[in-house]
This record gives sequence, structure tokens and C-alpha cells, in this order.
Amino acid sequence: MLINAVIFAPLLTAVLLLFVPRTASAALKGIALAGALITFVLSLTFLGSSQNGAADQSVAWISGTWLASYHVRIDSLRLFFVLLTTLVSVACIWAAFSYADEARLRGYLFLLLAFETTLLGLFTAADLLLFYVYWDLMLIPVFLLLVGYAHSAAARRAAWYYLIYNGAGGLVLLLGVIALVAHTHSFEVLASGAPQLSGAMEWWIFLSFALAFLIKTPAFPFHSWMPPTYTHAPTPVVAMVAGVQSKAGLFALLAFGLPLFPHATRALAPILLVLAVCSIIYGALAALGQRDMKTLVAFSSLSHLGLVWLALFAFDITSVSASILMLVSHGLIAAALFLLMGFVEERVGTRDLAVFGGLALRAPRLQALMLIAAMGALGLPGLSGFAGEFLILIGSWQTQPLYTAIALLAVVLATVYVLQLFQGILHRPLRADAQAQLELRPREIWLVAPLLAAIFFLGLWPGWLNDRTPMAISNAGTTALQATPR
Amino acid sequence: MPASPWTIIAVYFIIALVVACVIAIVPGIFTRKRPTVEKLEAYECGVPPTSALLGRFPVRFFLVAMLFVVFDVEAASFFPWAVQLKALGWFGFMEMLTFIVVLGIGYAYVWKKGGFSWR
Amino acid sequence: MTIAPVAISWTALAPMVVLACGGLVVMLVDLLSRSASRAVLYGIGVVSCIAAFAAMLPLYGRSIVTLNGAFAADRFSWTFDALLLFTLALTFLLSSLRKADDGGSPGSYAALLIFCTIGGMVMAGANNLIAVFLGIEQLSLALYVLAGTGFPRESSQEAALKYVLLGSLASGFLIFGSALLYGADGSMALAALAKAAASLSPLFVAGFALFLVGLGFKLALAPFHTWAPDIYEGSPLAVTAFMAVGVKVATFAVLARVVYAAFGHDSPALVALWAIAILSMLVGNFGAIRQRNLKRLMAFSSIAQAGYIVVALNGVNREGLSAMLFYLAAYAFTTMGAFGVMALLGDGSESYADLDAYRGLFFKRPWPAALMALFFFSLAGIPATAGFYGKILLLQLAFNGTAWGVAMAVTLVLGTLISFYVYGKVVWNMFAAVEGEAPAASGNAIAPWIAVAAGALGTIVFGVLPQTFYASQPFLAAAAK
Repeated sequence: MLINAVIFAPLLTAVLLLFVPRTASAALKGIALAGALITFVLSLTFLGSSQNGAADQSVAWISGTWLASYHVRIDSLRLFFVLLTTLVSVACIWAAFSYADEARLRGYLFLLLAFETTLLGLFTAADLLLFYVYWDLMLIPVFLLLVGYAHSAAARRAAWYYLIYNGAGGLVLLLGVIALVAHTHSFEVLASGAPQLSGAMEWWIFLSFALAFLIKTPAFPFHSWMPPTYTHAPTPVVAMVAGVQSKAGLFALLAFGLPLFPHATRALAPILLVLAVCSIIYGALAALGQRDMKTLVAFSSLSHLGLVWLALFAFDITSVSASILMLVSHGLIAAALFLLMGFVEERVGTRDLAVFGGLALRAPRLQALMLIAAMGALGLPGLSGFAGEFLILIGSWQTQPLYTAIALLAVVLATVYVLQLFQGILHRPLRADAQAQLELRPREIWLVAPLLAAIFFLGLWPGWLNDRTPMAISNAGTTALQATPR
Repeated sequence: MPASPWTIIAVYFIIALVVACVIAIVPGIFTRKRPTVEKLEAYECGVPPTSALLGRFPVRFFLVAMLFVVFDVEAASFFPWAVQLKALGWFGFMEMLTFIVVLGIGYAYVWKKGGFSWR
Repeated sequence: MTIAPVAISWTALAPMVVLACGGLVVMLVDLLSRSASRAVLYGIGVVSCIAAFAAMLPLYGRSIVTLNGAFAADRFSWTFDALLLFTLALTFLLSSLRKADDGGSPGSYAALLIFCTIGGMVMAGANNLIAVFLGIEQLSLALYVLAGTGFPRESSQEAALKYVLLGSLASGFLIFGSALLYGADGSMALAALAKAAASLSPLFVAGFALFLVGLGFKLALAPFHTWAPDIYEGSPLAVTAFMAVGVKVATFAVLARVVYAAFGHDSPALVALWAIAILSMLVGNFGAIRQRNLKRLMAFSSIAQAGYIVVALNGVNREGLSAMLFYLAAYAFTTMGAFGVMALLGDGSESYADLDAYRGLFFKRPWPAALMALFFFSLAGIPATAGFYGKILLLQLAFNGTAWGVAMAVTLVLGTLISFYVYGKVVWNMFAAVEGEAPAASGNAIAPWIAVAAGALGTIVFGVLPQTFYASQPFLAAAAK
């Protein structure tokens, strides 16, 4: 019951907004933020209850030749993704308050809240059909937000990249799902362990799953939709996409991919490892060459998530269990960075690092917050980024020393491009025609603060998260870790 | 070979085809051709044609032709009914009554809508 | 000599008789009253739909074969009839607008729509080849006229003429195919096809092929689809809607009944059907890419959707029949809904058939635009809509192990991806902002709103709770044989 409350609270809030007049922007903002906050508080209650056990609810949904059920659960694997979603959503919906067009505010908030529900649904779905429903459904709010609420031709073009790439991924996944369920005759594929598939069949089905996950994350070479989307989407949207949606593919790999296809994951690992390392290096090098600050962070995101692919397919227990920490940490850092860059763009009117700079003089608070987020992205010890990266590199070194060595190179490059970003925004002389009001407003500080606090918290006490997940990893990963390639 | 019912039809078709071809082709080969104006005229039941054959003519002709066909064909079904009325009994009578009513509504409709007036 | 009257079950025929009486009443009212308004005449039309549906209720779950085996009122035809009546009622609602394009003669328009639907119901229940032909001809002849009722527009005249010429050609194929099928087994009954189908005699194969050509034309399946875009574009909006839904529903009933009667299982003869399905999915979706007229776009979309629905016949099993009905119902809801929005916004005129008219619509008229987006998402098969679950069912049937099945599944997915762009383009236009335009005020008539709401309700409920309908009695249709 409580699970459904968490999943559908944002949607209910969104529906509630429809009954508020379009012009009553104060009421709209208040209701939307209250809804997001309530969702966050509700999701926190699962922290106490699900040390090992899981909150689980299953209702028969479709019977007949193929069974499906409305099966949602929050266990130790899913909990942190749910918390990440609800926390980032609060910040994003709060950030949406500065959306300029009053007449369209209601639709904007509606779509953001609907997007949150699809993300929560995805992270809690334990039934493959339900999972697929949310997997595809989340395209719609983002597509509509890009087309209707970004007010730029580039964003409207980016909407096509987003829809067609992710739609293609979704449909490939659909083929795989149907082929799998043609064997199991039930969408409840997790209920009875890994399905007994023939080698080739398992290989093909996993390939379709992997392709969908690679596109959604994204990973090299399926990332073409990402730079335009991350660059041109409205700030709250890109913070949610980069912070939360980009975790969907890797989450799905942990929740469905590894348990369902233990042998095929092993067999395909060499290819996926190469793609992971390519993502890491390519993302870092591409980030180095960017003048557009959002594109820079987009490519750094490609690089960081490539590290998680490496972690999962290194098949080492340390690296696999650190992957959740890394994902949550990246979600917090990416969301914080994109929100802060959004505030900067609002003030200076451009994303081009070569054109402006020197905000540190006038906006010390902005500098402080930016410093935390940037250092998190860079992997400074004491912040969450370090803990995840360090554990992953230690773990994957055991099984894949060569790839890990190459990945280490990217960690060095990260220092370069993150500093480029930081200096480009904050250092150098201030432009003469700069706006007077450059400092962050209190609202902007308060909405980023929880994310930054979480970055500190996880950096100082990574065990808080990591100790809660071994159960999840043993569920998801052991089958794959012990399996042999076939 | 036992003659299947289809053999007979096939033989019939072949004969029909041959005869048709002979009638169409043979005169063309053997006759002398002395065309006159009258011979080249379109054949319209012996009446001298009033206008050019190829050209525009009013769509009203089609309307009348169509209405004629509809009501003529329907009226034609009265004859077998009349012959067999005794055998069909009351059931047949009611059937035809329904038929006439439906037909009558259609007739009235066409009338009212001006289908019969030559405007 | 005495003639034994044919045994007639009036219960089985009641829905059609009731509907026909409705048609006659429409004609009489149009005759007798000097100034019967469009609302009155179409109102009678809707009422006769409801009355015909009421006459169907006693037939629910029963199976009556009557008229010397020519006509069957069974669970199969029951659901198809219900869909046809639903479509007809919605068509009336779409036609009732101020500027409705019915050639200024609402009486004959309404009567023709009704008689057209009766033709469809005959097709749904047709149990021998003659009944099939009668039904198809009645449906088609009425539609030829209806296509031309927008006659002040030249495109409507063009549509009517093209439809007559190409439609008669298709009827020729159909009747020739029927004759050969009759020759193959010496019986008009569909049930008798099984014997000839088992041996795949040359006569049967030739007849079945010609029969398929005829049906393929009526369904606008590639490569017999070329007429569809022009005729969909030229016909009046509501007639196009009926063409897209009603004709497909009725003709799929015939196709399903023939295939199920002739083949108990998969057969090599059906390969032609699978090839047609694959071709239709590709032609329909690729063809739609460049369309900027929504009626043409819907024509190509209907070609693709018909291709999808053929997949339901794969394997020729019971689930396939339910899946076909489910998909047809989903298709009926979404397509009627989409045409409803077009009619609503254009107030009956054709002005909202143009894609450019939709630019920025969401910010002027949020509700119609949002519902339009819902319908197009459903056509594209986005989850939580009826179209999504329909596609799941079809894919499930496609994966039955045969190579053709897998080929169809892959094509279906590929076609769906292309359709993301096609349908997405409309949504994109509705949400792409245009700065500084005053909101359009027109288009708030109640009747098309009812149609749109009915379509939206069906789309969502079928999408979220498919089980309720998929497994319900009307959808678990007793197979034709």
C-alpha cells in the first residue's frame, strides 16, 4: 500500500494541479512542491523497514496464456534508486519555479511530476511487463517537455534524438521481453530464478536487453541522443534525466539482466567491457574539448557511467556491490551540477565557457556550492564520487587489470575537464557587461543544499549505503558471478 | 476417360471460342470493302444519329438508366411470386408486402428528392 | 408443387432488421418533414444503433445458424456487430457539426451510413460465399456514394469515382475467387472449404488467392493499398473515419472466418497472407513519413495497422481471434477518437486535416490536443494505452516458432519504430510553441466531444486493464468453425 503511495503520489499531485486555475501560479507551485516533498518523506520510511526484508505487493493483473501481475517491491537494491529519485525530484520541481512562462507553468509541473512517477514505477517494478510499461512511458513526459517547454529550436530537434533513440531501445527490449516470455509464459520472470534457455536463445535475448540498456544509459557508441538532450533540455528536466533516468539502464541490468541471463552476461562481457572502456575514454576526451558547459558535463557523465559498466562486467564482488554507490553518487552530483549550471545560464545568458567567467567575485555562495559538486565529479576523497570510483577500481583491478588501468587514465582526465569547467565559470576576469545580480537566491541555495549534503554524507560514510546493499547484490549478482560463459 | 461435368463445360467453351473467332475474323479476310458514309455511321436502331458519338452528354441519362434498372429488376421479381402465390401462402404475401413497402419508400424518396424530374 | 419456406430465425436477424427500420424511418422523416434538421436525422441514427444493440443482447453467447446456413449469429459476429454499431454511432456524432460535409442532404447520408453498416453486419455473420459477397457489395456500394457526398470539393468527386472504379475491380476479383472456391469443393458454405484447403488443390489455391486480393483491397493491405490515401483524403471527414474503422472491422470478420473455416492450423497457403502483412507494415509506416495531411497520414496508418492485425491470424488459434478483436476494438477507439478531434476542432470542416493547423495547438486548446496525443500514442503503441497491449498480444502470437512469425514480429517492431516518428510528428507539432497567437475559439460542439470522450475512455481502460476485456466473453469468441 505504502509502495503505491510513493509511486503514485507525484501523479496524484499532477492530477490535482489540473483543478487549479492556470494563472494561480503560487498555488500551483505550492501544491507541486508539497507533493514532491510528501513523496520524499514517504520514501524515507522504507529506510527503517527494509534492512533485509522487502516491501512487496503483488496483484494478479493479466491471466490467460501469459501471466502478468502488478508486482511492485522495494528491497535493498531498489531502495536507493527510489530515494535518489524522490530527493532529486524535490530539487528539480523546486528549481522549476523559476520557469519564466507563467501561462505554461501548470503543464510544466504536471509533466515533471508525471516523469517522477514513471521513474519510481520503473525502479519498483518487479514484473517484466510492468517494468516495460514504465521503461517506455517515461519517454513521453521528457519528449513533451523538450518540444513544448524549452523554447528553443535546438531543444525541439533534440526531442527527436531522444524519442527515436530511446524508442528504438525500448522496442528492441520489447522483442527480447516477448521472446523471453514465450519461454516462461509469465512476465513474473524473477519469481523462479534464471529461466532455462538454450545457449543461443539466452544470448540473443540478453543482447536485446543489453542494447536497450546501453542506449538508455547511454554508453558508447549509442550516446548520440545524449549531448543534444542534456545541452538543450530545460534545467530541471536535464537534472532529472542525467541524475535519475540515466541510472535506469544499469539498474535494469542489476535487477533483471544479471539474474535472468547469467551465462549470456559472461559470454557477452568481453564486448561490453570494451564498450565500457570506450565510453570512459571517449567521454573524457570529448569533455576536454567542449566549450559548452552542459555538453561538457554530458560527456563526463558518459565517462562516469562507463565506469559502472566496467564495474558490473568485471564480475568482482567488490566492484559489483560498489556500483550502486557509484550510481547514486553520480545521480546526486550530476543533478547538482546541472541545476547549478542552469542557474548560471539564467544569469549570464550563455553556456559558452569561453564567453563569460569570473562569477566567483560576485557570487561567493555559488562558488562554494559549485566547488562541492565539481569536486564530487572529480572524485575528491571525502565526497561520494571518490568512494564509488575507488571501490570500483579496486574491485575490477582483481579481474580486469588492463581495462582498469585504462580507466584510471580517465580519472586523471576528469581532473582536467572538471577544473576547466570550474575555472571557466568562476575564475578569470569578470566581463564588464555582467549582470549585477549574480549571487544565488536563497531558494536556489536551499534546493541544491540537500543534494550536496547527501554527497558529503555518502563521501564520509559510504558504508551506510554499501552495507545495506550486499543482500541485493547477492540476489542480483551471484548467479552471474558464479556462472560460466556458455 | 470418364467425362467429368467440367469436361462438357470445357468443350462448350472451346467451341464457343472457335466459333466466335471464326465469325469475327473470316469476314474481314474474304469480303470486299466498299465503305460509304451510311455504312460507317454508328448503328442506332436505324434512326439517323443526332449528335457526335464521342462527346459530352448529360449525367441525367445515367440517373434515369439506373433508376430504371433498379425498379425494373425489382418489379421482375413479382412474376415468379405471382405464379407461386398459392404455394407461398400468407407468409409469401407478407414478405412481398414488406418488399413493396420498402420499395415504395425508396420510390417516394427518389420522387421527392427530384430524381424523376428532367431538369 | 409446394415450396417449403426457408427457416428463418428472426432473433438472429433482429439487429439488422431493427437497424434497417431505423434507416427507413430516417428516410421517411426526411420525406415527410419539410425541415428535419441534421440533429434530428442523426439523432434517429444514433437511436437506431442503440435499438439494434438492444436487439443484440438476447443473442449474447448464443450461436444460431439460419437462412439455410448462409448466416450465422454467433459470439464471433456478436462482438464484430457491437464494434460496427459503436463505430456507426460515433460516425453520426462526428457528422452532426455545423459545417458537416454531407452534401447538403443529411437524410440520404444518414440512411446510406445505416445501410452500409448493415452490409458490414451481414459480412460479420456471413457463413457462405454468397452472403460474404452480398455483404461486401452492400457495404461498398453505399460507401461509393458516401465518399462523394462532399461533392462541392473536387477531391471528394475524385475520391468517389476512384473508389467505384477500383472497388468494382476488387469485387470482380472477389467474385471470381468465390467462383473458383465453389468450383474447388462444390459448395458455397465456408465450412466446406476445409476439405479443399487440406489438399491445396490448384483450383482452391487460385480461388483463395483471388479472394485474398479482393479482401486485401477492401482492407487496404499492401500491395492493394494504392487507392487509400486519395480516397481517405477526398471523402468527408466522418466518412473517412467510418471507412478506416467500419470497413476494416467488417472485412477482418470475413477474413478471419474464411481463414479459420478453411485452415485448422498453419498452412503453406497462408504464407501469402504473412507476406502481405509484412509488406503492409512497411509500406504503411514508410509512406506515412512524408504526409502533411492528416487524412492521408491516417490512410497510411490504417494500411500499417491492418498489416499488424493480420499477424493475429498467425498460427490460426483461438487466442489469435481474441487478440484480433482486442486490437480491432483498440483501433476503433483510437481512430474514431482521432477523427473526432479533427472534426471537433474543424467544426466539421476539413481545416484540421492539415498538419500545420496543429502547430502549437496544445497551448491554445489543451484538452483536444492532449486527447489527440493520447490517440496517437495509442496508435504508436505507447504503454498504458489500448494499442500497447494489442501489440503485446500480436507479438505474443507472432512468436510461435515459425520463421515467418519471427519475421512478422521483427517487422512489427521496426514498423512501430518508424511510426514513433509518424505519430510523434503530430504530437510534436501540437506542443511546438508558436509565439503570440490568439486562442482559437471554435469547436466546442457537444456531440463530437461525446465521441472523443468515448474513444479516450476506451483507449485508457483497455490499456490499463486489458484483462477485463481481453478475457471477457465477447472477446473469447467462439471460432467460426
